[in-house]
Amino acid sequence: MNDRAVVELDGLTVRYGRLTAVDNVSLAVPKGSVYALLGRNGSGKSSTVRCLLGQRRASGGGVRIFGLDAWRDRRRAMVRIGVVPENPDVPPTTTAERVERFMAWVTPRWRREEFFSRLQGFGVPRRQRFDRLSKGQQRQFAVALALSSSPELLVLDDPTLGLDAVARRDLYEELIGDLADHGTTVFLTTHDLAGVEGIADRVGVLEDGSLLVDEPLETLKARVCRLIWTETSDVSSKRIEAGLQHLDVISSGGAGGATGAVVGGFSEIGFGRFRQETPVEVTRVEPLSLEEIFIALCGEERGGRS
Amino acid sequence: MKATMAVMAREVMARRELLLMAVAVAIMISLLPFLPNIETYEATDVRTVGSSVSALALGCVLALLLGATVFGNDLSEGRLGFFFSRPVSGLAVWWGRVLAVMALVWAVEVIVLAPALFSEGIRVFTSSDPFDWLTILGYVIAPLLLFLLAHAVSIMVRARTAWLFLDLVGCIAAGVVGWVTLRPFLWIGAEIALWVIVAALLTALVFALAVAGAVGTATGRCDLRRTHAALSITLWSVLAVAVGAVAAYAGWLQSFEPGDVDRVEVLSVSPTGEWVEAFGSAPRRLDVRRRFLISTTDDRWLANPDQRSWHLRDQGLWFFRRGVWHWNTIVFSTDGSHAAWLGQGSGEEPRALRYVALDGAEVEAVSTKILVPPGTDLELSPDGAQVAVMEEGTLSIYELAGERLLTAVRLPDDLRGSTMFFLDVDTIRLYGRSSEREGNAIRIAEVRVPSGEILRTGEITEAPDSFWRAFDSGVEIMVIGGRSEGQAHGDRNLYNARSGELIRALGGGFPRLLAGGRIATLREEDDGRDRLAVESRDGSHHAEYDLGVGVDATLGSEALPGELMVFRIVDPAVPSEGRRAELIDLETGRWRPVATGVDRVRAGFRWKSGAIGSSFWYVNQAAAARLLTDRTGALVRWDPDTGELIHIIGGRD
Repeated sequence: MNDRAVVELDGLTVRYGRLTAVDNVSLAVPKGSVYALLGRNGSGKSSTVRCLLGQRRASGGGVRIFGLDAWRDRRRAMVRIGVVPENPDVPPTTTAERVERFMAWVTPRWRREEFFSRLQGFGVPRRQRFDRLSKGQQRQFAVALALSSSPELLVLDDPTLGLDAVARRDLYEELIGDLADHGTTVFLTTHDLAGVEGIADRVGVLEDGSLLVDEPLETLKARVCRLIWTETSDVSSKRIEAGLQHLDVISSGGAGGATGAVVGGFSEIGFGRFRQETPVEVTRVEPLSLEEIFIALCGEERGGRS
Repeated sequence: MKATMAVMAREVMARRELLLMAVAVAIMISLLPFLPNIETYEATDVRTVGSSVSALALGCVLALLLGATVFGNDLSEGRLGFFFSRPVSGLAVWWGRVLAVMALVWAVEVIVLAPALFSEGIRVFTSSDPFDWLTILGYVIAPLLLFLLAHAVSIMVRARTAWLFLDLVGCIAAGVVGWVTLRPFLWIGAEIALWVIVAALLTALVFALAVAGAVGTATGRCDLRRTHAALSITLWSVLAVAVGAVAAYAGWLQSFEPGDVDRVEVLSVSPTGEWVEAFGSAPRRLDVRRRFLISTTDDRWLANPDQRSWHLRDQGLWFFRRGVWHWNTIVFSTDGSHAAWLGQGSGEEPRALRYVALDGAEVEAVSTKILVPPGTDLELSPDGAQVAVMEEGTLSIYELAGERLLTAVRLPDDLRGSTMFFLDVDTIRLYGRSSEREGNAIRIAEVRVPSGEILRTGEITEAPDSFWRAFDSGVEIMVIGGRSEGQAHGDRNLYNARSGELIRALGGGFPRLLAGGRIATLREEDDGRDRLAVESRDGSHHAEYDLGVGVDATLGSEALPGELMVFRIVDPAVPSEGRRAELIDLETGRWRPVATGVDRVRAGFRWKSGAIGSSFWYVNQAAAARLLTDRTGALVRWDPDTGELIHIIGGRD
């Protein structure tokens, strides 16, 4: 594992009875990076986060944060971590002022002024009971709470869940601002792929508990793209499929005379071979958004014709 | 610690409305005396009762509600992550919340008790004698126990994992072990031990629940199912060890042997003096007392647990009823070969008759199928083969070995509740009392066992209203003397025990009926001089012996044929030197020393400390002819051949 990694998952396995939610997942999050763990519902993201936060014991493998065992040394590790949970877990009858007093007592690096300033920025009232805040305000409350403890690592479990577009934008702005100011390492899970595309350095994709992808976002976007070509009648589909093997085809299909394929292993050499062996007229090579890549990797019709 | 206090402060703040509710309840209680219909009662009493009951009820209900929800709700709704996402340990979360809840509950109790405390002061806690400490414990411990119990049950029910099976098994096992541990103390009437064991079991339960809750929270963290697993494993493991330790302690309390007994409270002696029934206590065993049948001639003994049978007093709510214990008397056969008694049981249910053959190498109690109500009089035949049972006017005779009813006789009213004696295997003598209208006469009859025939043999019409009586060993003659407020008084008359015919009047003093129809009587003269008179049945032979002044003489029995044991203070000028036993030859009047520092056998004795038992237990001195108590209060046997005193039981501090 990387010596400079803030988060290290080494063969992490989580089981619920006979069900394996996370299966032998290994990854590392370098210091100062933003790691986005993506996956469909039930793919094992939240279980991974719970293990990472020491809230659940791994069934196999291990999790280290800042070199500490996430389960055994949870309390020591938590001094350096800010958390925004999937479902806000602040006690419902409490207010921001009372939570602040609690945090000041238990969090050594707590920044009181910053907390209230962030709340003010979000427009969250200080004396309102938590359960009487709107969903967006509750989420903002949680973000302010996480950021104001001066975290070196920020763990966000689907932080934009249930937020409208404006709230999502505000949240990412807040995050980006903090990242710029403090160089905080971020580990987040999300379904908001468009939002995270702008800030993530590295991406992991979980499917059915297994890690399909774990690489820098740029690399991912460079290798996964869409090829569009025009088919000619003298080229058999078998020959095209054989040529696409050089590019690690994910899905292929066509409409209106144009044919295309999403490939997962685009490279200049592979592309050259494809063109050499397959006499089709390639009209263009299209980059894909993170969302398109995710759908291509995890969509139900993966590997089939679309 | 800091985190624990932070959690505690947060929890108290989150639930501080409970204190306002308590203030509202206290105000309402203060106003209770002004309500219609209640104003007739004493205002202080109304406030005291209202406050006490409300405080306890509110404390318990709050503890239950909070126990069921404080952790359970947060775990179900995933809110415990708030604490586990901070640098707060699981133990801090657990103890912080437990302390907060208990601080709130106790504060609520104090606030609700305020009206009573203002009007009655601390007497609120001390007026409910004899349960003072229980009252205080009720306010303090009951909510804690209920909170911890509700928490555990809440986690178990919410998680519904396979560990629930362990919980059910654990619950049943703990209940059974608890009951099995407590029951013997209940039955033998060891109230202090009973409460100590109850307190120990409750402490073990509170401890196990608290530790299990802490481990469950620290290990399970935000995972309800893992919390349940950790809680269940810890709870039943700790409880098994703790209850096992309490059960072992309870077993040790009851496990002492005759050699451990230092104080004998009840003693009876078999007619031959070869066996004694001794009921006593041992050091460090609280108020646990055991009954033993002990051979006085060799090292055989039998622990007899059926010493008492227990039932709840009939009146009142069951919780406030107190136990009532019957003493299950042991009866011996005249030849000393058998002993019988009633087995244990509760309530008024009939008990199994038990017996033991004392003439074998091994003594082992036998439980029969003969069922007898508690408190029923028993009598063994001279050879121990039969038992007579006097039950509500019916005399039943059973053969013990075959457990077979030989005969049952319905007795006339004046013979109901008679004292009975087996004269031989075929004859039972009855002494009944006629009604006051018929002059309180003593009616004498004999029952023929084979035929069930009742033969009236005589009566004594001039018996005092209250009297004591003594029989010779063959039940041929009897002495009857008057009694007033427990004290013997007036003359004693000697009667024919079968016909009730007056033989002659005896003088004052306490007569001892000896072998051969001789009667020994001890009298204290006006000058403080003790005199021993020995006379024949018809009074034709009479001898008197001067025992000295201030010697506080007492009579034993014929330790050797024709020789009577007499006990006197060694030196009346120095009473602390104790007493001595001597034998007087009834023919020659010659004295022979036996031992010094001994006294006649008594029960409830403790010579060294001077703490005589609160109730004096009569010991048949005729049977205890060679049995004595030594300086240490031990029961000893005098060996006439060697002159040695052989320790049997008790007295070893």
